[in-house]
Amino acid sequence: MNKNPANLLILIILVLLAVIVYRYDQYVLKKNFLLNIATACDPSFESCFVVDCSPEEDEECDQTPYKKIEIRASEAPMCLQEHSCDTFECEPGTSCVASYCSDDALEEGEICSMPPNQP
Amino acid sequence: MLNSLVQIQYCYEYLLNQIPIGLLLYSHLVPAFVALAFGAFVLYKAKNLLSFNLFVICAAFAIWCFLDLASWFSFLGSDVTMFTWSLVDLFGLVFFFFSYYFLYVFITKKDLPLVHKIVGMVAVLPTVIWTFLGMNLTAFEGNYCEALENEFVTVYPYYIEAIFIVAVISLVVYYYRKITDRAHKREVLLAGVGIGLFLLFFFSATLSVNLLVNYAAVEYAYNFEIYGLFGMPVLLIFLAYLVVKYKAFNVKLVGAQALVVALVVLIGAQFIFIQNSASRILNICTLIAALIFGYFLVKNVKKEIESREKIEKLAGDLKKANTRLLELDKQKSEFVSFATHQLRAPLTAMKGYASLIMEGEMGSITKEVRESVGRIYDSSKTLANIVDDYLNISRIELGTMKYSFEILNLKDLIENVIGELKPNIDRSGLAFALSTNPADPKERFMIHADKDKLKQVIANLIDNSIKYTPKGSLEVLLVKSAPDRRIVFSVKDTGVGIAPEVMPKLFQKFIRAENANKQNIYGTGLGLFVAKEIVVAHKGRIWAESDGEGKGSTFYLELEMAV
Repeated sequence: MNKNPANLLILIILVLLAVIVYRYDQYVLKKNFLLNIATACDPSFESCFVVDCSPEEDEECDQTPYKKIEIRASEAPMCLQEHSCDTFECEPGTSCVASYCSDDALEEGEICSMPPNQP
Repeated sequence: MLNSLVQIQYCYEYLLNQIPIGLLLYSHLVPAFVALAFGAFVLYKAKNLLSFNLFVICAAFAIWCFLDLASWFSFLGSDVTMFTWSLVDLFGLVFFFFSYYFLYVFITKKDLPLVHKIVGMVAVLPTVIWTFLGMNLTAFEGNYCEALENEFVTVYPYYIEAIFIVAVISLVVYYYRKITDRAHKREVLLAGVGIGLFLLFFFSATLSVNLLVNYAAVEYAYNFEIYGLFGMPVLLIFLAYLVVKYKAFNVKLVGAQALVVALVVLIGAQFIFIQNSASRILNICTLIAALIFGYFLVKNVKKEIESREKIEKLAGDLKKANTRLLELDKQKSEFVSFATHQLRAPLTAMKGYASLIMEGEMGSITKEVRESVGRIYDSSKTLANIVDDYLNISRIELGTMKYSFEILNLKDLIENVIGELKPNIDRSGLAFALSTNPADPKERFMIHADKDKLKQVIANLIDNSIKYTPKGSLEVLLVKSAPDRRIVFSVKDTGVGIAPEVMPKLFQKFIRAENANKQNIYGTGLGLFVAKEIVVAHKGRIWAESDGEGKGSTFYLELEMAV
């Protein structure tokens, strides 16, 4: 094996190691990434998203109301990822952003479920 | 076992709905481990640039498989998925780059030029930077348990992969047309097709998934990704064929070894699917049986191959020794030719002076002196004949025997020979007869021959009959067969005859029958060999017939009539 290819491999391994170590630190150790997740929403006083489907036509149609949370993973409780939080509200002073249903926030296949006092 | 690793139950159930976990494990782990084992085996057997490149491809591919599998297993935690998902494109580009590198070295047997390396690394660099900065992923989508990709950044590697594929195809086409050696051409084609299919499988699967995800065309688009992984087994089949057939990478891999390894891997891979204990036990038994039989099969095949290689080596050595012997034989013939030439001149002088003394040219001599000089004359004549035989042999062996063909009457030639041998015939006391068929004295037996050489053959045959016939008769017959344009000369005697076991070897060099040795101690065993060579040069045939020892013999000489 001549010297050149070995040098090239060492260079590549070093670069890859640097990337791996840094990403591991950022994602696994510091959990420095955003988490998009749907969580329970109470349509009686929040504007919630609902999947646009009909339970009579589709057996799998789940029309549980939800709101969208965008939160830094390091600040997210495990129940959020498990979709098991009974109630979840973004705490002030954190990166957490809750999205409620509006015409602008609607995506394809979604409809809004508004509180009774709203039009 | 997987249950103990579940961090997010929601994602585990989501995955179970999406794809069978056994299929994921099978499609990722089997190619990864087989590739790693193959790359490590080749590197272990031959430490050169080519095997080194192959190992890097296999290792990068295996790492890609592990990363991708971990990305699928989002139930391990969103952090693990984000980490592994962020690296897959980078490792994909690494084995694309090294596939090109490997193929270049395989074809040209040279290292990749520096400019190619720089261009390749510059092409990969943006992905390295984006991955390092975490720009290729935007977030973890907790509802679908997958990472969200930055579309612009993750599309870039596909362009680079496509460029590598084009480069690989161009490389193969260019060198396939340029190379003249057929075996190497075939090797280039096999390696090129193997690498090309491997990259194309991978590229088309990942690109399709990307398009399906972007256009939300199907529900579980990532499921199609696993089909890209089957490119690696295809590549390994091509490479294993190259190793077995062409001993590529300087690795001697017995075909049986490759088959046994493949069999063991396939049986071992069954464990991924097997769910119940009974099947697991049966599979363990099958695996053990395959390992034991495989071990003995490989051992036996290796032994046979070693024996064959030994025989091939011996045959090679024998060929060399034979060539050397031929050279030595030629040198011997040259030496004999030289030596006999040197002997001939003094013999001629001895014969000449003995003849002059016997004929009284040197003054009157007593009876005792005449007898003594007569013996000198006879001995020198015998010795001259032996020297002539050796000279002829060396000329035949060196291919320097010269023939001067002319049209002549064979009957005249035979009568001439008989005239010269008359004193010997008279001295032997044998009854002698010459007859022809047709019997007309004016009949001509015209042939196309070298007069002196043919005279030597005829003299040899008649003289042999005289020597080996202690009593009885000698009959010379000349027959012309007009329809098939052949003339047959034969010498029939009532002499010592020829034993059946001697007959097949009679015209070989240095062959003398036992009874011939008793009758004539001066024979060299070369006369009939020389006669046969001369007759063959005349496009004729010479042979002998005898009813056995003590029953006489007949020698035949058949020649073509002249036009």
